[in-house]
Amino acid sequence: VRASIAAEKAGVPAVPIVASGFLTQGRAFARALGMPNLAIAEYPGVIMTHAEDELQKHVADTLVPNIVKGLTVPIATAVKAAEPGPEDIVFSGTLDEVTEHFLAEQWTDGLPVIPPTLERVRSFLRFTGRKPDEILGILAPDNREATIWNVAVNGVMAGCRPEYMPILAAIVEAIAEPVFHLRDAGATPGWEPLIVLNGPIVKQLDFNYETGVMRVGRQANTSIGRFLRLYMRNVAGLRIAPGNTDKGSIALGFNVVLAENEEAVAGLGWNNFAADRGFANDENVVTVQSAIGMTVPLYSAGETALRHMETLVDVFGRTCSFWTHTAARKGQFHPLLMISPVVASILARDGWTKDDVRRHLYENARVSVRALERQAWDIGFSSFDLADYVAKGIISKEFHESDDPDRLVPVFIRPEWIGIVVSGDPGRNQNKGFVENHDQGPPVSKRIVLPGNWDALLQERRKGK
Amino acid sequence: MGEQNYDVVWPLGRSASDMVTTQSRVADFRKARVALLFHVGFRDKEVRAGVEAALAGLYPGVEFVDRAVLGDIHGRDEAAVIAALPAKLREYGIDAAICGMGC
Repeated sequence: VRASIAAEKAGVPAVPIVASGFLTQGRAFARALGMPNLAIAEYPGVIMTHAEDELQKHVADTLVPNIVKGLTVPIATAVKAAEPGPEDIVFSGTLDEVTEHFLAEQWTDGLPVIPPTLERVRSFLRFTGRKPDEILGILAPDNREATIWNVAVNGVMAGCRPEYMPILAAIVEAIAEPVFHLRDAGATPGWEPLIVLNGPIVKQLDFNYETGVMRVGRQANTSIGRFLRLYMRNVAGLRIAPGNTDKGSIALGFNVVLAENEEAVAGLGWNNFAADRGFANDENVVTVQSAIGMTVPLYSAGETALRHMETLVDVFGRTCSFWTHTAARKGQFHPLLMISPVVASILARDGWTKDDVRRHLYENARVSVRALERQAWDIGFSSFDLADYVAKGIISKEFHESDDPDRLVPVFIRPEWIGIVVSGDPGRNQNKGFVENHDQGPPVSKRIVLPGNWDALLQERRKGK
Repeated sequence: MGEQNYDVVWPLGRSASDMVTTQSRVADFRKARVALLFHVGFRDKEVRAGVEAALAGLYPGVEFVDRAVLGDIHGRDEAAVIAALPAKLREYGIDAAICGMGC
């Protein structure tokens, strides 16, 4: 659809081929890009399940007539509809009536929201020194302006506290970076953003970073996780059916914020996750990256680092190996390993640094090329050629040291792209790995900017003002 | 005593998209040069071959310009390929474009 509209803008009539199951998404993209009447040529059914003769019959009998129609029948230019301003009151009613209205307009995630009144929104704005109309970016696929104002509105709705506002703004700044590819968050893998939080603000605002760290239940972790999904829905336009742009085939629920155990990581003599990404250990930093799945609860036992690494390579490596095919094609892969404080302490006691852990994972996690080729075809790649990717410098030479289809190649693309966060139950030897979605949702970090009167504002809040 | 009423604001943001002016459609495919704007995926080779054969059968004289010239519209260089598209379409005298695959 994007290419078709680029062609139309260049003065060339165009028609995208879209499979039946993607028509709603295609139309929503066209609408968001300013061409709601774009002609779309439907290919019937699920192409990856069709035999060759069946495919050619669909092309000749259905697709080609649709293409001809799309390129010959005139279509009208649409007129842009008027939309409310930021402070316009769009609805008045009781809590139940507001809830029903927001559900009908698809402005909620299916749960009731806190009504975003002007008073509540302004209470959030007090916790940032930034102007409400500051534009943080344009969020695709819906191509809408992300502003400090609508960050506050959605923060109110999600059940956040006003003092979370600096974190919410930093999160939106992160997802608005073009490299984050938010526009692809509605792709079929159904990836979900994962927020990682570092710095003194973890304790200051009462985030959970111990037992049940990824469970809903603590207000800070939960409401901010909900905020991001709500924001992506309302401002980026990533809504599931009916009628919108999120085509995550099965997808996932939102992630709560993953806060690092700052005391534990400092006690090991390790840098925290934010410092690994170029910040100081004592800075408040938010990182957002995609996650398409996670390992089973990854128990590792023993008194030595090597014994723990054996299990981490096995479970984290094998889990990530099912996505190496697409990571190798894109040349990016940023999985994240959450290590429990007790396991991290054994690794550190044996003298392992985080770089040692990353290097060991990279060198020991392996997958066969035969498996990658099958998985690549299954997901829909028409070709998968590691030799070509190596020749183009997309991946290292280790991926093509011979033409043996049963050879083993690395699971990970680069060791330095494996994230490590120390968090979770301090009383259990359980870890967890998150599989990231290649160049869609790579980690993006932003410093959290607090207002000059932050301490006074917090004190005010604690006194219940 | 009645329930409290809430006056609420809009949770979306201003649209940054302008409406796109639609173009005149193809008058005669027999004289048309058609761009096949594809990416590597979802059996694009088989679909492209089928589309080319069917259109050539229906409209003798139709010409095609493909990905090898115009680039991969959903590859690693997608942004650059899309940005270069207007100039490429002009350079090759393209009359219509077929884009795929949306799967």
